[in-house]
Amino acid sequence: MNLPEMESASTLQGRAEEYFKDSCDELTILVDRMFAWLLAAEWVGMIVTALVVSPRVWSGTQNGVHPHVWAAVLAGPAFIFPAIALAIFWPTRQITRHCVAVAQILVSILLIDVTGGRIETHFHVFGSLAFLAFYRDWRVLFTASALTAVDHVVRGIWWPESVYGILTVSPWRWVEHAWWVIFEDSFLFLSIRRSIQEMKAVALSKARLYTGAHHDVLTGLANRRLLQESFESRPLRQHGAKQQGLRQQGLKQQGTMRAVLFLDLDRFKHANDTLGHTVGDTLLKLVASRLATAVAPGDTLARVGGDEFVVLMENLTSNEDATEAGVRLLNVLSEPFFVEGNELLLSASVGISLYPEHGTDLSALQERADRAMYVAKGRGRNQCAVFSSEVARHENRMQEIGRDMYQAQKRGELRLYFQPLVERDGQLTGFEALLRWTHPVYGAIAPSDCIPLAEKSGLILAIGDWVLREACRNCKSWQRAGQRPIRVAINVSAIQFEREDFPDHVVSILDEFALDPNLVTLELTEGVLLRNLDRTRHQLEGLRASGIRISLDDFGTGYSSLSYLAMLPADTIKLDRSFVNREFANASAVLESVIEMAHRVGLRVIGEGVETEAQNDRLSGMDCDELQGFYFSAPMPEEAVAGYIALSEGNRAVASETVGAVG
Amino acid sequence: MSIISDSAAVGWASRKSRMWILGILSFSSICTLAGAGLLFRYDETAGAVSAVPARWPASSAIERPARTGTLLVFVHPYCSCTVATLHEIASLSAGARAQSGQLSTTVLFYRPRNSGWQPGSLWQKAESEIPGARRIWDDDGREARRFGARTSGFAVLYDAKGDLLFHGGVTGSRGHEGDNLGLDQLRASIDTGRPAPHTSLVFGCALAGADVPPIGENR
Repeated sequence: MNLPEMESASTLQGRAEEYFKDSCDELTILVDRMFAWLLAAEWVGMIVTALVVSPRVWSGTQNGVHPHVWAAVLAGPAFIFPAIALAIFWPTRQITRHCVAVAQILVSILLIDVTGGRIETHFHVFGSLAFLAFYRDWRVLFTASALTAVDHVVRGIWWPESVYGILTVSPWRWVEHAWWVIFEDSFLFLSIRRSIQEMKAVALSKARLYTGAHHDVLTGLANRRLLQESFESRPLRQHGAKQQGLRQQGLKQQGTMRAVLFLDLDRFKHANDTLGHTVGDTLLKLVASRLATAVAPGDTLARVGGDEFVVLMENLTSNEDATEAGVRLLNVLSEPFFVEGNELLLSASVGISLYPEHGTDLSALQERADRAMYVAKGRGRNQCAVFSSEVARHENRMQEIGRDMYQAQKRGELRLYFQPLVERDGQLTGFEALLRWTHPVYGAIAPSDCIPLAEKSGLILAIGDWVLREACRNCKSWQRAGQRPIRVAINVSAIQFEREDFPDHVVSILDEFALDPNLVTLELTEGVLLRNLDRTRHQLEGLRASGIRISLDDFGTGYSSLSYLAMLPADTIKLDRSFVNREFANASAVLESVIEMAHRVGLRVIGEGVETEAQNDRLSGMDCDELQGFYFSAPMPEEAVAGYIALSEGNRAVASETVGAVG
Repeated sequence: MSIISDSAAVGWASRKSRMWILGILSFSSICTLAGAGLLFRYDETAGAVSAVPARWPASSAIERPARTGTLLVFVHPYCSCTVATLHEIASLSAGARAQSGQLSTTVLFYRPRNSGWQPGSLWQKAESEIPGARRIWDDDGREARRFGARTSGFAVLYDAKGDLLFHGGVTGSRGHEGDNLGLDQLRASIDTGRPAPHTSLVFGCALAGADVPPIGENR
């Protein structure tokens, strides 16, 4: 089977032909066996017939065995036995079929002769042709018919009475006989053709069934089953039953190491949720096509989940081959995809496991590649990671962290850090509350590690509440310290937002701290917002009615149509850091257009991840309303916030005085 | 339309095996052709015929009807090839002229001296299939020698005046039934009363063996 396993019409046809050929071979073997038995029976029957019809020949009182009996007996070794031997020991061959055909017709001729030309025995010829039609090979019928024709022509010329009888003797009488043979053969040929067509149809159906059972319907790639079969079939063919201990060294020497690459599209779910499943499906097909171009012939590319692909690589000479292949996969996905008028940028994370180093069965290799893939995601996505002991340690650590998270809140290990949001002129407008967890053993745990764990364990609701309360408490304290209102932006997870009473719950917390709702901004990602558009709008309207502001977080990483911006009751969009930092053709023009469009629908724009003066200048120049990033300040603990506010207020006062003096 | 070529799944046999197979098939073909040639030669080889008297032999012990033609058929009682002759004669006896009593048929069964041969299947067949035919033993083949018969299946037809109309065989080859020149000529002679223009070959077992010369030669 040609790999990569991307099913196409030609592959389907090829497989159908394989099935057809297999069916034909099976059938031919059966027919060969049938003829072996038939010829043996005919031989015995012919001898018996000869003995009954003409047992002895006489000359006066002397007698001997009739030559017909000898002819019947010797027909066995002369041509019947060779045909039987071929049918038994050399089935499915053309030469076997033709020898069987010749033997059948010779038996017919001899039988007719032995029985004195009885008309009934002529039917043996037609019976033989009918049986030979079981081969579904017109060439065999041709051989049989040609031999019959030669017999009739030769005897018709030299001994016409034996064939045609004296009353109708004519040198052209053989033409009539030939016509009858052609007439019967035509029916047989048609029968064969029909039979072949049916067999082909059955083969095609089987091929379709196979394809359905072994290929992903959407992309045409191999599915888990075919992947498993590919994995199992190769070692048997290539390596035989080598001992496991010798295998690894042997494989390396022969350049027959194998690798499993587990590829997961980054944020595909987000695209699927926001752009719809039709676009998502189209995108998956395009991804599959591109991945197929990066996979070497002989390797297997399979789709094993929604946005998960697995490549089974064969014939590696070193571990680096697998990494290079992983990079190739990432590279082919780096160019934008165009789906229904949307330009989509995708990335993926690839985990790699090696055979037999990381496992000798596919499930183990796949599981380890999957784990390595999560490591790649944890490192910031769009990269490859090879499974290693480090990966295993990381996972153990994450499991431990997951267990410790239950106690983290009680033990006071969770803290909020705050990163300033400033206007273009540097004026402080608020802070984004950022969760930090200091593990007693592992130290600071990144939010990208702990938030998924919290969501997975369900702790996110309790932690989210804690964050909301802490952020509100801090915000309240800032109002007391500052000269003007300072807002707080709080990230909300999907699980929190899906609570039916989420708006009321938030309002109750605000009431708890007597905090002005206008000072609170809830940041939600596009994916969260667009899960259920009607319900989302209802929730958001409830929140906004209370005075709470809504911000679309990580804007630029998803694929939501800008029309959603107008549909959803939001106040600001927050350009994602990757969107701000990424350098690509016409980047400035794209940013400028997004900001301008947001302004037109009444949204403020916050630029996130500003790290350099150039980025600050660029975004400021584009009328970006607010900015956030390390260029202004790193996230700070709550103790440092008051000082930052004071410093900011001081700078503002100085700036005001300067402006006043100039004025 | 052909569906099958040499199976790739099974693969070609080794060159040595192929040579063996081709050798066996060649030998088989030669044997088959040679055997067929010998067989057909045997089937097509006519039996010996001696001179046949143009007039009914006066020495014959067989009674010849004065008003009808007489058909004599000489048969070896154990010659299986002669079954075909009897069938042909039977079909002839079913003809209009024979039915009307204008033909007297006698089947003479050769019997060597002191052989003790008894009526067999051919005797029964002549009785059952040729109505009205007389069956007599031709002891030591005396009558056969008088009429020049040396091969089983030999037939002679004399008209009411005792003139020879037909002599020869009535089968196309040894033991083969079906239309043939001899039968055609015999039928014509019976129907028209005219002599047959050609002598037809006789296919069957030798009546008295090669060592017994015909009467004419004894003279």
